[in-house]
Amino acid sequence: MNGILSINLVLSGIYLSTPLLLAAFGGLLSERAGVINIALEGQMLLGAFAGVAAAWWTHSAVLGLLAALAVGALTGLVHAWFSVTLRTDQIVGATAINLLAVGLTSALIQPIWGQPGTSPSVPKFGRIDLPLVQHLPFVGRILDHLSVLDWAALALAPVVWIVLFRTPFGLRLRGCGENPEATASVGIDVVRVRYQAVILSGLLAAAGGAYLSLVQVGVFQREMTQGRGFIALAAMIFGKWRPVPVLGACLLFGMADAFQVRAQTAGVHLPHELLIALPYVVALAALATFVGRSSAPAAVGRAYVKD
Amino acid sequence: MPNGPVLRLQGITKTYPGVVANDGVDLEVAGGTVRGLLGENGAGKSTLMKVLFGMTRPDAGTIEVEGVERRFRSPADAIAAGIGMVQQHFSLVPDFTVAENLVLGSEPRVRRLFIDRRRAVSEVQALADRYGFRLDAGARVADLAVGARQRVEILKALHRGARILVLDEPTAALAPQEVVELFTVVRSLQAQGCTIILITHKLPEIVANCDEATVLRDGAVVGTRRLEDHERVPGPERDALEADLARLMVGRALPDPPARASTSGGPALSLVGVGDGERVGPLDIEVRAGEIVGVAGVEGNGQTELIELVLGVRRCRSGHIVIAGRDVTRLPVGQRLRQGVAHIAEDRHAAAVASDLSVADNCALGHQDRPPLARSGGRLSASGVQRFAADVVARYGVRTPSLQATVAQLSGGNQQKLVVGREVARRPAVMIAAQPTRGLDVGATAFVHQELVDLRDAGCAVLLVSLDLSEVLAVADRIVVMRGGRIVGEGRPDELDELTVGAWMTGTSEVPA
Repeated sequence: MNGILSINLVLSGIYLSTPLLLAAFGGLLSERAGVINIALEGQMLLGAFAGVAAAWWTHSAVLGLLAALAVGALTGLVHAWFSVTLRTDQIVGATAINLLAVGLTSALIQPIWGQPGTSPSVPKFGRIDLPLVQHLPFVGRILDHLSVLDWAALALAPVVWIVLFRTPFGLRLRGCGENPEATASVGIDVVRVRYQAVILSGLLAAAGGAYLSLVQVGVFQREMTQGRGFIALAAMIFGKWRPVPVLGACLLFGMADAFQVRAQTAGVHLPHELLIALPYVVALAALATFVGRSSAPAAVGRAYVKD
Repeated sequence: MPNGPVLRLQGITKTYPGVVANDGVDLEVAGGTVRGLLGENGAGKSTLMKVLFGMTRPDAGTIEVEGVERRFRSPADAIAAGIGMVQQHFSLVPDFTVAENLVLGSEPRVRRLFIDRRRAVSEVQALADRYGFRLDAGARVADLAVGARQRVEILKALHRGARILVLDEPTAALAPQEVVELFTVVRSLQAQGCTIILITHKLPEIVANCDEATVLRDGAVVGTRRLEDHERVPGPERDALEADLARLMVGRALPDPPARASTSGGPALSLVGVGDGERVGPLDIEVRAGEIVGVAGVEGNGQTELIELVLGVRRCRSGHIVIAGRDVTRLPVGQRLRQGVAHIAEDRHAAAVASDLSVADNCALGHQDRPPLARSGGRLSASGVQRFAADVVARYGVRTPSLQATVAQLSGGNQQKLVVGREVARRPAVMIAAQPTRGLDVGATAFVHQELVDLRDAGCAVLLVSLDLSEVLAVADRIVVMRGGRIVGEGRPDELDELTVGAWMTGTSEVPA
């Protein structure tokens, strides 16, 4: 077991947590404003695809990431239009986005790259070299291996916390998620705030997807998100819609994933399928055992009708 | 004290399809006074206030505030003109602190991007102290009692510059002590120059607290009266005044309060040590045949859970429930109902009617499995349903376009009559009536009370759960008071006064039960 529990485990745990963090904080912003976002999965997949496609055309990973963010914001806009303007059921609208994402990305691989199932390799994001920290014991080796997106993801918890709990924008956003009518009664445009939150949510989820394709592997594969959007959603719920616990939940699920990968390569004598299922089992167990009832924003999932 | 009219409404007319809600209403309110606005539900009070607060636009008529004619397109316009409204349903964010609720939308900032939380709290606290409100600006609204939430709502209006304050049925959900505190607040506002409009159908509150009272009926003003101090003290003059206003309001004399039970039989519903191990109990309640037991208490003290326990919707973790001699503790809802339980639900839309089904179908609910509605083989008899519904509608005076109309088309009062009629038709041994008159006008309320009394006289046991203490005091033969999920006091209405019951309800001082 020594080969499994090592500094590399921590490192790959962080790598695997990053896409979850990006998507989970996207979900957090949307739901704190009162809009359920189970479209995270589809938005990640579209982000992963758009990132690789743009990087392939432009030969630039940075432009790839920007394209992914743009596509994510666009899917957020669509979700907001469905759930805030048209006031369709938020689950149904988001499911449509998820289905569309799977179908569209699978269908476009062949016409664009002329091969089924996967794209050719594209430029990847590099790690950031930090000249000083790499000499620190233990943490130095971890910090030295992180990319911009890893840093951004880890910074999300404090940033989102400050935005939500210390700025007027955050107060208004939470107001929309707790009692939209009361929030509207003091002259706040609930529709506008919800649009902003949901668009931001799509943008972050797509960044998580782009991380999978542009940072981890440098290719796009069919359905490569493998339910990570839903794991992110589970992390958000397990973290009770609060930034710091959500950070912890994402790291937990990421570590479980890393453990599973390393256990497989180290040849632990457990069935392959069981190991693959580990992060999902951890997520399920976490949700089943720890979640209290009344921690969700009071008005989440409820359409706001202006009168 | 400024004494010119601070508010003048002239010829306000508002029609909805088929209804004239306001018919040329004139209202003139002098600055710094408290004006009572009396009227039954449907008399046009709420429409008038919606017009005044910019929530709806009148078909005709003008609004003058402090001598300037105004046109309100939205509540924001009304607020800008110095009008504040405190509605029955508070518009507060429960998860926020008092200060956060007040500054929401106009937050004091530090370094442009951040909320200046210290200043928010100190500003709000200063405002509360200035008006003598007992409030902690840093407290979370969800942790406050109803009375305190209402003070937050009033403070919110003041914070946004209100000089004319409209209070819509402000005492509906308050315990007596909280009512006293509310009117202390009202007087302190008045002393600081605010003008207050108090909407209510509770006469004693008007008489005790207003300078003038205006009565609305059928959308029109039927009288305005100055109230003199000597009329406020209890006595024949006050009684005459109240009778006078009541006649104006209803258009006829109020029906006499129903008589108390003379005798009662054996226990029909008994709860022994019953609790859900969480929010209610353990508690003991016994209701005898031919008796109305009223359950009083501040909202959220276990009344809803108590009803759920009796009905079997909530699992009973301790004790025994006996209905009509049979232990039903482990029986599911359906079997309990077959023991002779009927239920007038607290939340009509959630638990009593299916709004999109027809009147006929709604009458059939709960009767669908027995003759004459059900035929053999589990089929429903359409003609049986029609006849049964026609009977309920006729007997209880449900005003409906037809039996095929959906329940959503009926007014709240008529929906409630339907529910009462349907449940009484079960000929129950035990009636669970939860807030049976919420939102009903005086006439419909009297009707429901009479039905409960008739049931009792026919030997039914009635458990009446209500947040309206005056209702419990008026109708029940015996009263139990709930706080924190337990029974904290018990007695007969003629031995109890409102303040004792109020002390039990709020736990402000322990009076031995």
